[in-house]
Amino acid sequence: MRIDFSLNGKKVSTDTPPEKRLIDVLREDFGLLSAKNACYSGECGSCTVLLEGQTIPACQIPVFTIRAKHLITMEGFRGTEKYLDIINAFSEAKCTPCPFCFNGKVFAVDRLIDNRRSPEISEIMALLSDHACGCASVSSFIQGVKYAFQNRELRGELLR
Amino acid sequence: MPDTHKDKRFICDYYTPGMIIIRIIRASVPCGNIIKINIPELKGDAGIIQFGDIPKNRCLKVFSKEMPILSDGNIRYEGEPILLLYGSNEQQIEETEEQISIEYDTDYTIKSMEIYTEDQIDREINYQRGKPDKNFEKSFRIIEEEYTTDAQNHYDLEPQGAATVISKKKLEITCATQWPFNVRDNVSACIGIPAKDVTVNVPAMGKTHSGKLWYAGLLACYSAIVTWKTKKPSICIIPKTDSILYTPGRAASKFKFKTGLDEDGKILSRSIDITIDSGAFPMLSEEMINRICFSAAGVYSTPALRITARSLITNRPPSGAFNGMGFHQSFFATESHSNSLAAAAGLFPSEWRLKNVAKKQINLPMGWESRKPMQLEILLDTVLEMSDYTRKYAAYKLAAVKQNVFSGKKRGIGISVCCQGNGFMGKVEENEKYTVSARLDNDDKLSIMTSAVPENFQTAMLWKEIAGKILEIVPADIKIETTDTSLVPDSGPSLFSRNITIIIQLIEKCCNAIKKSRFRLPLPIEVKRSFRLPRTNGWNPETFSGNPFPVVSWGAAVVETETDPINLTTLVRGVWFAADCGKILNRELAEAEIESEIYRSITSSTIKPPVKKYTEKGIPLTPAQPAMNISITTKFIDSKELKSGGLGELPDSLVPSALLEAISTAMNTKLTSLPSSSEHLFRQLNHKEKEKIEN
Repeated sequence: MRIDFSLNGKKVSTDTPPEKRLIDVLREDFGLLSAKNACYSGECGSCTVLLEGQTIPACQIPVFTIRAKHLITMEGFRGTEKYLDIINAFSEAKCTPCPFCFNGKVFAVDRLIDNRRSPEISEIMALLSDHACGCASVSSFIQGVKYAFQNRELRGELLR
Repeated sequence: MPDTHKDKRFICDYYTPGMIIIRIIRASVPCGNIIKINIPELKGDAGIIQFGDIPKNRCLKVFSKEMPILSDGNIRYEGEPILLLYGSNEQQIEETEEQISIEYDTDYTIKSMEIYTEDQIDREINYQRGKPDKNFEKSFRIIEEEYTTDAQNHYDLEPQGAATVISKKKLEITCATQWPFNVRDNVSACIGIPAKDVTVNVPAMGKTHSGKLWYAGLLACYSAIVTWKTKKPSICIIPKTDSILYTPGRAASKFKFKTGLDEDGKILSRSIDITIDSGAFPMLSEEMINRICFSAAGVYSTPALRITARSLITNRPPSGAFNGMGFHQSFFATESHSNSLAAAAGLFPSEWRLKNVAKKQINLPMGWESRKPMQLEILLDTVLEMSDYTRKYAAYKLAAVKQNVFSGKKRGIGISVCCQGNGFMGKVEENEKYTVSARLDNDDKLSIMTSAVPENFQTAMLWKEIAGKILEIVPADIKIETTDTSLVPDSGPSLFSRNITIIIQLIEKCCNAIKKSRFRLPLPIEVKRSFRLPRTNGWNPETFSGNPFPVVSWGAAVVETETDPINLTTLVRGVWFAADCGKILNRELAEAEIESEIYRSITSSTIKPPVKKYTEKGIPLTPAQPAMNISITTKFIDSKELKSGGLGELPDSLVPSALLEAISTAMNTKLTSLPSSSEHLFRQLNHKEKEKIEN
């Protein structure tokens, strides 16, 4: 089945079985490896991508559902100002998520600081609990998320 | 930091369409014999590998122990690999997999740890120091208790696996392993080709907790056999459920203590009976049982001691190193028992510890010929002061006894003290001649060659900083070669904090040697250094005497909790942690490591994860990190040790007993098994209530 969609800002097309998992399509057909295929059950968060601006687990999405939609993976997100808000904040807070959970954590933080004025610690902890990797220290992650929010606020991204 | 992640490739990133995919068909019974394997007609390029198809050596070797690479017809544990199914069409492979059926003769008794026979004993240790029986007779009071710890699985986020290609008539293995040379040697033995014709590359890895020590070698052999047979690139990645259920986890254990105290509460005599479940293949049982025995009596002066310990072969998956390889189980049991000893002596747990901790290494329960003074009292005083332990303990203890169980949330506090042995015990380090080399090139750039696998990029950064400081080179001009066995010397397995204690020492030695000849010899200068234990007082595993570890770290912790008496959930209010781990190389990194390990330890101590089995590409419900923001205070005391010691294992040895003691104090009960979940606490309180009514 031919499926057209927008991938990282470019119009693309793939000929693939419609029920194939989005994560497998991204990795095998497009060679995009930042979203990881770890659990295939949507629990670990490492396959997160942005579909129409919302985070989704790519391992749980059949590829036909993304027809004519806008999809962003970490390859496309990297280098954006939103990405830099988070990365610079992590760097400042000395928060060092490992390359495996990095993708899921960055997208989750992006959604958290986009959705809230100021993230509560309980929300950050819930986010960490959903992306339980144990690679980065909890306090530095909390600090990193707070700095990320400040960075985004400074850029005037958030509504006052 | 972040953009270095861009090029990191994990083992799952090595799959490309067209590669041969390998599926492991596992035993569905814990013991028995295979009667018949029914294999459907194979389509396309699909194939099967069984035990007899393995070209040469059919066993995986780890030190002196061996296990069959595939089942030889005899099933020793549920999940034991029986055959490999391979092919390039994933859908076809999946359909074939569903049609394979195996018939077993299961008329056997399952071997377990609970009731065991003599033939299950893999290794037994009988150790005695002083005259325990005589001292028991002199004891004012004798306390007997039993503690158990469950087996613990690995919950790594990234998948485990190995990939193989043939390049220039050599087998190139990519495999997430902590021990690349063990993988290389096992692959070369199993295929029957010289070791020089096998290279092992290590991809990016997450935190391992010693879970990728030898199991990766098994997966590498599978991939190598298939590639050798088909002459095509292959990849073997195991599903998450298999990774959790069958990779070598922490061994279950049972400790029976008998301790005699004098009138002041000081230890006079101790007898400890230990049983460990090593699983079907006790690959590391020798090191594990030695470490368990070594730590079983804690860090207290013990005039007379008797230890009987045995590691058992059972019908469970083989157990592995898992962070400390025995120290965790021992310190949970012995520190929990110490709390009972304190209660029996009418002392606060802190008082009892201060009274009994050894002041010099020679006074510790086993071995230790060194007379080095220790700072355990300082460590204890530090955590007591930071946490306000004494006041809180008195208040919480009183509240637990006086107040109604349902009168509000119950607070509790617990304390523990322990040590961490860095590096292998005894002579492994010396016998194996593990090496690091370094080369200063014409352009004044340094290359460090080691097969040690850094746990994270900060460890590699630390190595660069140390080398750079000695040779006055900026870290950007230092390259660390770690990923290819054809380029680096064998530096041994990366566990027991060896990357900090041993590898750093060797890097320092290499760099100092280069520094000495830098302006006397022409560049490039290359030097190699191997680790040597001090010749005097080396550890003797037969007599349990001498000095056991190259470096030892010490720690103490206090944990404060709040338990809801209605739903019995516990919130950790604070953890106070003090450590003496020699020279601190990077304080921030050390604190971050302690913090993440404390969180992990709290999770594994209080949550018993339910495991779904054999779900299609499914993941069992993993124990999520507790959604609580714990106040963690860490202090490093000034050390008398000039070398650097590891600290990653200290939280896992300290937190479980202190945490369970805090919950026990709050709920006025005694938790004796690990993990202790809310359900466990409920059953314990119910049982206690029933006993009360019956009496």
